[in-house]
Amino acid sequence: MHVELLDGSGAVLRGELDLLVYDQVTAELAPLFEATGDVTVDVSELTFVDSSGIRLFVRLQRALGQRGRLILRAPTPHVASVFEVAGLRELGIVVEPAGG
Amino acid sequence: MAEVASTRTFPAAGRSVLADVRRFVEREASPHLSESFVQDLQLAVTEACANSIRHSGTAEIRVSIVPIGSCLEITVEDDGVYRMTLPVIEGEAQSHRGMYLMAAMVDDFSLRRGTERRTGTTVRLVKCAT
Repeated sequence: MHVELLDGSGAVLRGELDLLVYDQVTAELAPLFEATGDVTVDVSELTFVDSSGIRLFVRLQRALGQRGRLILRAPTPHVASVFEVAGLRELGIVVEPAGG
Repeated sequence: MAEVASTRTFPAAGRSVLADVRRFVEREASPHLSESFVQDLQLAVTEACANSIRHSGTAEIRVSIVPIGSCLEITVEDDGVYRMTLPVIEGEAQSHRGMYLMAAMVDDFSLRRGTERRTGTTVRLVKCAT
């Protein structure tokens, strides 16, 4: 799992996000929890996500609160379907389709 | 003639064990299921194994896959104790999303809990080609 922190308001996730890399990814994304505006995470190269990844995104969105939105950009079809089943949109997280 | 199950045992520790389980599922399921269904199955099996790693105290996890007609039956077994908590006790940190995701990804799902007196939890997952 590779995390590229772009600046204080964005990151790119590459690889497979599961329970066993949750702590590493959470630590690497720590600056985003303090962001003062929208946060965009490019998930176009995220090839797998489980409930630990969902937990991470929900925690990040809740940390942002009223300061900004969490935008998950360009998920693959399967990752998008996991986001859908997990109800991320209903929790206020923006899932931006590829090319959107 | 009955189909033969393919079984592998994984240590319940190590940074790559869940990825190793997914590669095993991919290899065994790809001849039988579409790519998207294989991905569904990988997620369901990952959740079952992650639950064993997080909660059961087992040293290893056994994953078996057997074709049954147009379906695959996957069994995930550990030697631990299944610890179920209510979401309200566990808090919103996880809220049993893993269990919901696992159930949502397959056609059939059952769980036999390991207890203090009879250790060993078995999760049975069925994914069908149609």
